[in-house]
Amino acid sequence: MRVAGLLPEYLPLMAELDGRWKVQPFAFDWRLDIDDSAARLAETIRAFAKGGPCHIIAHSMAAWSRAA
Amino acid sequence: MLGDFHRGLDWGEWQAPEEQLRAQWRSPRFGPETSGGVAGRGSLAAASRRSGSSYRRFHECALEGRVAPGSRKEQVLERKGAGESQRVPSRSKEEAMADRETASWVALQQALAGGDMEVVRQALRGLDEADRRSWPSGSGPADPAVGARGAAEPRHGRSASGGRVVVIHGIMGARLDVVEPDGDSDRVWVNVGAFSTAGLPTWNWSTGCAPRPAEAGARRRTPPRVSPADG
Repeated sequence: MRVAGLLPEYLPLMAELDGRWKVQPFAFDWRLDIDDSAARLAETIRAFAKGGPCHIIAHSMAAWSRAA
Repeated sequence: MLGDFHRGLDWGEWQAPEEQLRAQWRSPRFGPETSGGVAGRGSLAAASRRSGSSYRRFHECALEGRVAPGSRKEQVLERKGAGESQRVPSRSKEEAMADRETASWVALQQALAGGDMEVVRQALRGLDEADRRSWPSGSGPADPAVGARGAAEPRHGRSASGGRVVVIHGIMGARLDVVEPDGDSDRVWVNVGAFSTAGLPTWNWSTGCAPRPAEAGARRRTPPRVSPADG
């Protein structure tokens, strides 16, 4: 099984944000346990933010991201 | 996305036959002139209908529960039936270029899979105006076409002064592929037509993934998996 990225429906949002922000999309396997996804998200944020502040834009099922 | 589909349906007829659902799917409500949430999916589908891209083939075949004609999956099945090697020769560069819109969208999907916005910008630069007209709208705070053009420009000359943002999708917001040993892949998605016409009982629990009784105070770690029933 391969996670092949966010659906193109998210591109307008990311493109709009990309004008002013440094954007990192995060795709996850929505069938798997949220603890596993949360651990991977935390790792991604640490590598992306490099200790600095980082905003998260999430909706719907992505509320699990608070677990990260 | 699935929610958009729900908004376009007349739920007073939720038990309608599959043909009626197909007619609703193709109705002007899903066309580019539609305002609101369904516009994005509709405009992308409409653009694909004009161009005959794999996007259209996917949706129509998904609704009908069959393999898309001309797809690599169909070629593999044909070779399997003829007793030939199941490996399908790669398309030539000329053949790939002939299907330009599909190729550009595939490149964009691959860029999204990589998660690097710089690569996404490069992929966006590979889209022409016709491709950009098929952009899903209604997801951004402003005209997505403007955002697309802005994002497609190289970052030099623009500043990312706002800070860092991680974008996380909602349920079923990422594309999942089942990768087969021969390199072919199938997208994991819901067959909306079958699902809406009470097709759920035709699914089986996969071996080893049957639901377990809940344990007090414990959350199940293994997700349920379903597969089509044989026959």
